[in-house]
Amino acid sequence: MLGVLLAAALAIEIPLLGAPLALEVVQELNLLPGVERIEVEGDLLRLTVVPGRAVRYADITRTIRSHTVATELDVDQIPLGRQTIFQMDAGQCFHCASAPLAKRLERKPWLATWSVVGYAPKGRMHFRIEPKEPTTLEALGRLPFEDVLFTDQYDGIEEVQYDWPTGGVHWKATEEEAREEAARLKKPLMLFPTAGT
Amino acid sequence: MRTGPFSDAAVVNIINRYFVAYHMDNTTWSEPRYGFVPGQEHAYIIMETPEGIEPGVEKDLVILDRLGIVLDPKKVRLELLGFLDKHPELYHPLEEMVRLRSEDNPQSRLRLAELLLDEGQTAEALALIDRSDSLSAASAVMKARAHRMDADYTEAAAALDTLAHNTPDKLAGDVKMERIRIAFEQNQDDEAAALLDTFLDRNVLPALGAEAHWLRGWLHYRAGHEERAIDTWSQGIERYPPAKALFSQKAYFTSIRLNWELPDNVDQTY
Repeated sequence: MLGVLLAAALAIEIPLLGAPLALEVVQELNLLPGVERIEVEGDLLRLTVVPGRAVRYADITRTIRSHTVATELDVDQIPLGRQTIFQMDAGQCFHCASAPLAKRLERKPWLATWSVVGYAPKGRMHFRIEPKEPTTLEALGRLPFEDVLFTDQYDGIEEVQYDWPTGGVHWKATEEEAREEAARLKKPLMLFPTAGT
Repeated sequence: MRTGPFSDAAVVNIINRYFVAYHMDNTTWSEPRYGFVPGQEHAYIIMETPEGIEPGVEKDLVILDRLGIVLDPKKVRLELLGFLDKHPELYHPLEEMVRLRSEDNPQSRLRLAELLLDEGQTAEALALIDRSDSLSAASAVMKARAHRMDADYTEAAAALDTLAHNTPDKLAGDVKMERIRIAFEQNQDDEAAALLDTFLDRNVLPALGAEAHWLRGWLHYRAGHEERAIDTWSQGIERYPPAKALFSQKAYFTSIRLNWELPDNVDQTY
């Protein structure tokens, strides 16, 4: 069955295109970071991820290409879901990257929800796309992501948990609360407006 | 090297002690506010007198919108203190500071000096330290901290030298970290790296451990080893979660923004 198989460890099946993979390639794939097990059965690659770790699509393809150009992962068949995390280079502004992405994704009739779940080194943004029914990457068309992470690390996270100016400042939860407290304590207000993050 | 004013300890302390802070998401605005359109990208800081202030006292609003100020913790600190100076009726010193000022003993003076240093008030702190017990190890460490904050590294090192052979165990981490900061801030990278490499694995307070990883990461970065810098920051973040350690937050934000270009006119000093 194609798709994400929820079990103790994250398991994903992705079809292979082209020639069968040699045993030595499969053995090397099993040494990749985050891999608990990779098995190849016919034209299907079955990946099991170590709980709490991530396996990168780019690592798998790089390993295969280092041995052969006759076989490749069928990227269009990568299943979308909570544990398929896309990585995008957001450049200088996360808001500037996520706003057009939102416009594009929200036009998809099959979309249930999508969310930015984390920020990674060097301006990288991590997000997931959840379809109403089992759907694969093919339905997205061209999307400017640079890698896909298969991981349960973002389970339980509904949106990015960090906004950058958090620091150690005791921010009030609402503007109303801040204004009420400032008036009551006769203290000045310090407001910090930003565009999202 | 900076991550913005809200990960600077002195700025954070002044805001938390004397201001009421609110972080607004301006993308939710339906119309311009404070002269800015919804979704304005450049950061700005607003200081405002509260509603219901004394009759006859004018409502005041100061907007810091120049990036060279907003992104510089030292300038933001001065702006915050300037606003408080302008509005003494809104300045409410910490109760502990008021009490300590009324007491006349070395311990109270030293504690008051510590609270002042937390806000970056070095001159008054040094005066108090000089009037406290000059033989105390704690006062020597605090004196070193104050001089270093004033970039007077010779005096800072001299204060620590008085402890060379009699550092109490409970202050050993503080003394070592202060020596690391002195070397780091003077760009004595080899010395700072050597000190840090013997410090990173120690079981120290989260604040010190996170700062050590932050500084070691920057030394890697300065040496041109960007990936090692990110690795070091990641290790620090894992060991000392950002929610509990300010320097882990600085490391987190720096690592995600490493490739971001900064305006030429922004002071990037630590």
